[in-house]
Amino acid sequence: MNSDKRSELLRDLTPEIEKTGRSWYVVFGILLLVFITGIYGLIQQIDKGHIVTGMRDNVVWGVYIVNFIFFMGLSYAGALVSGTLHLFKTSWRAPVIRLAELITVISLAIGPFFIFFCVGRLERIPYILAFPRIQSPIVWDVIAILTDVFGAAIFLYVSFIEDFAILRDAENLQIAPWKKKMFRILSLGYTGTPKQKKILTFSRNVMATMIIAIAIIVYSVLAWIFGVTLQPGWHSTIFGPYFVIAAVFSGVGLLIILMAIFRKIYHLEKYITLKHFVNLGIVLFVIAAFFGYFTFSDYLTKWYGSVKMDKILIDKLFTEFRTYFIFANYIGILTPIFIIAIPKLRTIRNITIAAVIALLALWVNRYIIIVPTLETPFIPIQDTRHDWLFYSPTWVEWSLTAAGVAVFGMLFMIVSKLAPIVSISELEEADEKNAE
Amino acid sequence: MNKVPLKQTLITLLIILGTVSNASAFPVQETKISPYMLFTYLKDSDSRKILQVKMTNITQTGEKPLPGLRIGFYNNENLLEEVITDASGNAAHIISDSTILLKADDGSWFFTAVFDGDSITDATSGELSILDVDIEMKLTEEDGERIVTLSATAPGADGPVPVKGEEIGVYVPRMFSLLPVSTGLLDENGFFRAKFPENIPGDSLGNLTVIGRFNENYFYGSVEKREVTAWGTRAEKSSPVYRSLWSTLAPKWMVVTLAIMLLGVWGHYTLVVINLIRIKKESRKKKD
Repeated sequence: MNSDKRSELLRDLTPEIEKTGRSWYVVFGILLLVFITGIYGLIQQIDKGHIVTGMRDNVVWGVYIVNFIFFMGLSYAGALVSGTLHLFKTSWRAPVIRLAELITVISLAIGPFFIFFCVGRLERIPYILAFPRIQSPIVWDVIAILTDVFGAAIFLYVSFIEDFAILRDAENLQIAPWKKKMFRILSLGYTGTPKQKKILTFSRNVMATMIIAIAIIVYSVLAWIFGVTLQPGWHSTIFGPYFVIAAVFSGVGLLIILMAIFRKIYHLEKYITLKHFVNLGIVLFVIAAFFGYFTFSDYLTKWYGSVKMDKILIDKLFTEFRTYFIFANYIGILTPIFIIAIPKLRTIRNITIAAVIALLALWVNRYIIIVPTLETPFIPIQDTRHDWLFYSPTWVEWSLTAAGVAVFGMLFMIVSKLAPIVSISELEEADEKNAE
Repeated sequence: MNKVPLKQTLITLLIILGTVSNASAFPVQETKISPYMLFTYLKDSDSRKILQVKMTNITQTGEKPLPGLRIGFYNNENLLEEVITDASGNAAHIISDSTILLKADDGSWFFTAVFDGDSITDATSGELSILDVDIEMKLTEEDGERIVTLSATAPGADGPVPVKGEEIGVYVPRMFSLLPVSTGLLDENGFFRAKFPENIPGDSLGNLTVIGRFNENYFYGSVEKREVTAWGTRAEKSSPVYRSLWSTLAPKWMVVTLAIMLLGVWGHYTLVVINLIRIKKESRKKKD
């Protein structure tokens, strides 16, 4: 690799590793405040119990589970996108693959906490591991998530090794000694010898393959938690693939949003171009079409079957929840399709707006999968108080939701201080291929 | 790159925000609830006389209990007690022995239960006319057979008078309701005899509760006598464990599938970790 080119890459892609700007502290401080508010909410919940949330005997899963599914979906989508881009050696992957990998790990670090917020007797959590019943989809999910956590961490680390070695050897960078030491340890003495390169490439390929398989299985398991129950709206054979498609939809949306944010903040216009947005936009378009097809198929069969409880649920979705339904399943699907289908509209801003809409719509989609079903139990609700019949999230739930988003941002910011957000080694490899 | 005016972007976002903010509105219930009142009378095994009300709202999704409603229990025009319905929509008044109940000409008591209505629930009421009656129950074994003998008497001018021709039954309480063991009519002397089966499960000692009962009788309401006896079969302390979805042992195919998947995945993880160690070793070799 040309040393001038590498210096240029290091200069462009590691601005926060060398020094921390004031704006970094300001943004981090704001996110920290949001996080602290969430912690205050959590203390209230632990102190007073779940009565401070909107959850009651019937709607026992609310915004927390919505967030759990949402973050886990982002994680699996990150894994699917990064694994696929890597395995298929997609030519334009270099600037975006690291972001996808980070989405995988960071979302996975946040998602499961929302399960803990949902559980009333946290001290009983270890029983799941101590006395597992492997017939239970909950146990499948715990095993799957634990497996995924290790897999995603190894995948991310393996993809970082070359960049750690580059940063270790970068003499022009003004890096704190502890960071240098960290890069030296984490790079495992990698110097790019043919044998090391071969082993590393093999390992990355293995992990990319595994991470794709695990993402599909684990998110299907999550879907089966709903699908294997007989609850109206959940008991569906297509929930596994439907959830996986939905996850990729939201994950691609988030990837586009992060690309736009980091492109703007770190001035990466040279590396993350319109081409990347359009390519991912087309992925978003295709996935939106599939997602729309699955959604239509799921609701059509339920509606046509006219089973009493399904009918009540669908009536509810088109009356009480119609605004959510229209946003999640019409605006959220059709807007990205519309924007990306028309070449003239394919600008970075428009594609980013389409991604924001897709992401928000997917969150709302999860909400209308969870809440209306729980408000439609087979056995009549044994209480007529309004908050027992109708779920409505409280400030505690919103504060913890906001805290989850804040932690997502904070972790991305912390990672940007420790390692490049765009993979230097991938860009070098892409440059070498272009030169050939 | 094609530029899109900021105004256009903001309008798009405003539409989205407007859509989402509207979504928080919940429908408000506009029509009043028309409650259903189930008013019953029970004379229990301790001869306590209990007036019971269950208030429910019958909807498309089934019966929903109505808690927090004030129910007035009356004997003729005399208020006995006002009771608030509980979470299950139930309210009950136990008539104390010291209460003097007014009787009609035929010797029956006339009870009413009244809910006066409130801002969200319509008023409703129920009425019962009850003749007092007593039940006696004897459990005996004759020639190896278990016999339940029920007799019923009503108070008369010259002492207790046998109740004739009314349906009475022997029951055993199960998890959700009373299991009818035998039902029939009282004979001329006010007696009913029933053979008790030998195969009804009891607890671990074989104990079960036998109930002799008028069940929601038109004249007498529900009147019962209970007795615990060891006429049941003994419940097994432990049942055999077999592999199934609902037992403590998972089906074999499930265990095998999970094991293969976990071994496959964690095997690959191990392989990659070994490779990372090899990379480290390779760098040491190079240094040497």
